[in-house]
Amino acid sequence: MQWKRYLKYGSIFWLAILIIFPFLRPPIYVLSLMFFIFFYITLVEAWNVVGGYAGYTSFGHTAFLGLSAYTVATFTKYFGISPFLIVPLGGVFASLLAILVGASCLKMRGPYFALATLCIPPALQIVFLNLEQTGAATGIWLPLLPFGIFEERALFYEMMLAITVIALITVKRLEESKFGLGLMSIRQDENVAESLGVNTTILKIKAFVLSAFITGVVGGDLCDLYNIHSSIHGFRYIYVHIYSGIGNTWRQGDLDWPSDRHSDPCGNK
Amino acid sequence: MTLTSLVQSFVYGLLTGGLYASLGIGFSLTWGSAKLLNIAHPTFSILACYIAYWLQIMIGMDPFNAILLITPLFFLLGIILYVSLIRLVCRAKDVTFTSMIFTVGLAVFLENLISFMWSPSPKVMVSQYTGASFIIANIHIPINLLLSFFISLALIATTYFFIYKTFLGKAVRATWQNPDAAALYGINKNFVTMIMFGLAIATGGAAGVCFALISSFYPALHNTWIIYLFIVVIMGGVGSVYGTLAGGMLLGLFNSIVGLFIPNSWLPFIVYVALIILLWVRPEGLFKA
Repeated sequence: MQWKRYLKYGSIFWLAILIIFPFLRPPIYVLSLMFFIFFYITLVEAWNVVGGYAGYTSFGHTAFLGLSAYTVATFTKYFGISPFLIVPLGGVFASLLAILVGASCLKMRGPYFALATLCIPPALQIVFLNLEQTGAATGIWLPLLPFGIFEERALFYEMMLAITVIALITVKRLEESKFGLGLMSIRQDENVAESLGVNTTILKIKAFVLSAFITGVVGGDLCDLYNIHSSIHGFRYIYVHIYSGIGNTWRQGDLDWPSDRHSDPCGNK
Repeated sequence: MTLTSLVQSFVYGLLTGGLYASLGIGFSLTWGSAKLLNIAHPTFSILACYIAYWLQIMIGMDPFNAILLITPLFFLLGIILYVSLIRLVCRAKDVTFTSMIFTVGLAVFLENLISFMWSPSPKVMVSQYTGASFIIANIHIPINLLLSFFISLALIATTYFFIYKTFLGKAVRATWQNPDAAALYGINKNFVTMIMFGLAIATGGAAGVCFALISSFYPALHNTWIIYLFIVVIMGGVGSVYGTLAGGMLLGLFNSIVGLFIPNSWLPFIVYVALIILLWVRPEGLFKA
């Protein structure tokens, strides 16, 4: 058990390094890059709850991301509340959508579930594209923060780091809990799990909502950094997951690279 | 709303429905016969649109002639793709799931390749008949649409002939019913799937060019088409030729009749919600008992 202690102290050491990293005044580009690395790690962790442990391939998580980003932006625009305070509200809205989607779609299995969730992001995109309140095709432009660009990036870096650490701990705890075991039993054989008394429907919906909540919080945070647009962030983050192997907490992330598309300050696409 | 506009949209829906069906037929057959869910199917159609567009810009070839060139070209492309990549996917334990993940990646790759080569802005293709239409009792039928419809019907008829009247088609159906038993009778499953895949890509490419003649196209359009394809295929029942034709017609009619009552920009939303409801209520298709 010696090495386990080293691992624990080692991770605290690396975490400390990551926390003080912005105070060393690295280039802004590196900060943005790290932001997106954390961003994808968190998204994939969230996806892993449904796609990895429960074995339900969801293509609909983009919708949660987008809905939450739009929620935060709309509240900021119309009620003038600080976007930092509403980030959890974005998660709540994403969870509400997840309850709706989960209750209807989680009955389906295999490719049918994937198909049903494949429809949700474009449907939501059309809603946002057509409503005047969400700025139609222009998107919503949020006011700039009152500091320089370096401080702003550093702030978002720290925020995303905090969210990532919380999400990692949550998912790791989930993996070791009874809830996680139930989800894994669903992945292995849903009928057997049901016959052994696992309430699969409730469990699946719970997992879906948890996953959507994390995705939503991340989406809200993203919207604070970039002005939002009815974008489809695409299936990119599901790929990060596929690369790293399904159902494993620690191995995700780090593979995706923020392309110029994401670093575009106008927030296009 | 008058009776004329109702009849007009009915006719228009029926004709575009034929196009949807020919777009979906290959998709349905690969899904049905080899359990291979090819999400990149409409992306190949878009690629065909751009190749036809290129032929028109470069050497002034009429799109209807381009179809004759594109169909064998895409058959070959499908076979090459099968031999090089899809064959590996078919070895997986769960072919449907693995091929779905793989082809989503392929679709994203192709979309970006097309954007890179031809820019992401919408393009329009004109043939010699663009702008002309038949007028029968105040009902306008664009000649492009009518010709595309007949080409689509010919594609579906060819596929039907291949599946139900040829020896190779019999082998396809045998593989479909029971792959192991078919292999025991000496059917080379790999070869059969390869031909099937080539045929699917070829029909998809030809249907894509037909579509390009009646509306504009852009690289990201395949995201919309794939959902239309799912509706067509799931309504008709996976792997059924008649079912796909009927599903396409129904979708075309649904689109054009609903389009009379609500703004066109909201139409895809209704269609997506309809697919979710369809999957919820009858995932096995409308026509199967």
